[in-house]
Amino acid sequence: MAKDVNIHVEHLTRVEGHGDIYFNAKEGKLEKVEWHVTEAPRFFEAMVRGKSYVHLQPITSRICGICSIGHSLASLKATEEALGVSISHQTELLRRLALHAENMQSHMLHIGYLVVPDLFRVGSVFPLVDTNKDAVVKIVALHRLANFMSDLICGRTTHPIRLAVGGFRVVPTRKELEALRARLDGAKDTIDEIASLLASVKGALPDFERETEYIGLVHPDLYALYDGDIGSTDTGTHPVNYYRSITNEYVVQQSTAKYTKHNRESYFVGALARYNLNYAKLSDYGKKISTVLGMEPPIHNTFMNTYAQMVEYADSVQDSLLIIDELLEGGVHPELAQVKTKAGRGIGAVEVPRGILFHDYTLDRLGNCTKANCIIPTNQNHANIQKDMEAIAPSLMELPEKEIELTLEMLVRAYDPCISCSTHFLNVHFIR
Amino acid sequence: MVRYTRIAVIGIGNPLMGDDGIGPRLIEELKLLGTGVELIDIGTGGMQLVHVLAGYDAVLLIDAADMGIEPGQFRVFSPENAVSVKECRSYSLHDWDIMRSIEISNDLGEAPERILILAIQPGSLRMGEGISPEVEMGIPRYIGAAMSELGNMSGSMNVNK
Repeated sequence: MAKDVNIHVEHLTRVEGHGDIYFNAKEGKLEKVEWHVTEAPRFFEAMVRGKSYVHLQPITSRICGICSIGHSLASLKATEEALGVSISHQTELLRRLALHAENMQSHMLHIGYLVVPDLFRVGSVFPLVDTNKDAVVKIVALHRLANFMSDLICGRTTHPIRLAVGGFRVVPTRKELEALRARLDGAKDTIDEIASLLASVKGALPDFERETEYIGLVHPDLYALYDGDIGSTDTGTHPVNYYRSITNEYVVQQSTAKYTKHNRESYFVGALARYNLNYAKLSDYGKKISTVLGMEPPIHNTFMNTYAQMVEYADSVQDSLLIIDELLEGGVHPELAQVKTKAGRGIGAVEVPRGILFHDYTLDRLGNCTKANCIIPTNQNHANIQKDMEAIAPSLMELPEKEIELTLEMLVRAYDPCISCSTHFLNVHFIR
Repeated sequence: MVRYTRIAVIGIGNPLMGDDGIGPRLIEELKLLGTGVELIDIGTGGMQLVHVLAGYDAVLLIDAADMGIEPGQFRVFSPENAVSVKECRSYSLHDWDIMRSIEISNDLGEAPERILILAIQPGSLRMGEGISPEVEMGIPRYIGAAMSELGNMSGSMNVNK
């Protein structure tokens, strides 16, 4: 059927920040399908210039209200490398816990509040309370567990105050860690149930495959989040200081955010990239959940990113239990780092919920920042979102306009993009 | 009258969007007064409100609301006495509807027994810092109303100035 379609989704909902979708067809022929980012740049790299090394983490943490822990860790790693500061094994363990907390927090928010409504074909999480109250209760419980964990390790749910250059300002007590351990262990049944629920509605995901290059950190022993080399499914392993040759940022007409490309026209970062690169390093529990979800790697269906996040939630719980056991065995000790400033450059790479994140700082001999470069995951995904849209568009032509719109919205949401921040206010009228 | 012990004031809004920041601003003002209750600036916290509500028996929410009255005027009401007509097409992290969050909290069986909303009609919601003169002038009245409600919630005279 030859038809005209004109879709313009202005400010797509259930994503972080503002992006628009355009889809135009004339007489059944696709004319344009585009993903636009309309946010203003935020100039954090200029903001930190001239600032002391002690201020870099608290400032750059504010880049994001969801992955503030990840930004903090990338910032600290870059600062420490520039200053030649090394950290204790205890700090590394606590940082890995902090990152797990954030991964769990962010993933459950995306899975439960932002994507599940699409799978049940409702507009938001609110009507879901009427139809699937039990599921909402469990999702809220898993989200709350992650908030509790962030609070306990970092001193706050978001924008951590305990993480510091060279160590931790306040370390959790044995009693606190034991309480966290019990809650994490007790969450497994709920995780199993949410995974089964996701498995039961998997058919609602569009059947769409497009293989691309998947990039993320890789580590010889761990499912890499906190540390590792850069891994690519196309080109193998590269050192972190090679990152500019991976990202190759460039500017496009349709977006205020920069695009990136490496071996192909675009690449994918995030849970699905990590899953494809590091499946073998998942814990038994992570693998069990991936089996429940029917996820044989490699997976080239972008929509499955959300399901990879569910696997990661489970894996983060399991790895956190191991870390807590190790901390409890050795005893947790207060620690304060001694930092001497010197001139240098450092690059920190961390896997945050949406993918690989780079902070690159140059400091002068007093420890003041003279140059900064931050490359966030969502920027690295924009080109891949565009390429996915171009690939899926022809298959949508015969669908009703609403279905085309929903599918394209779901596609963008699958990336869990973090575009930026805006506002809200109430609008009510009174019942007389 | 029921007296509550776990009481919080929760300010909602974005200080970078003009009068939308009145909630967080009033939290700052209340901190200077010493209320003896929890004072929480939740920003544009979305579902975070559901988690926070779970911890209290009585809560006063402060937010900017378009009620079709003059800028700077305010109302105090309970959620049962208003319906949201906000066009929230669906949920996004910063554009959500606190009335629905209260509903979710109720449905989960963990909402505070007493919830009041102190809603202030904004003058300007344009991007930028600073409260409009109409709303700025109303701050003593909003504080007075908040203190009075907190006094009722706690039954304590020193809160009810």
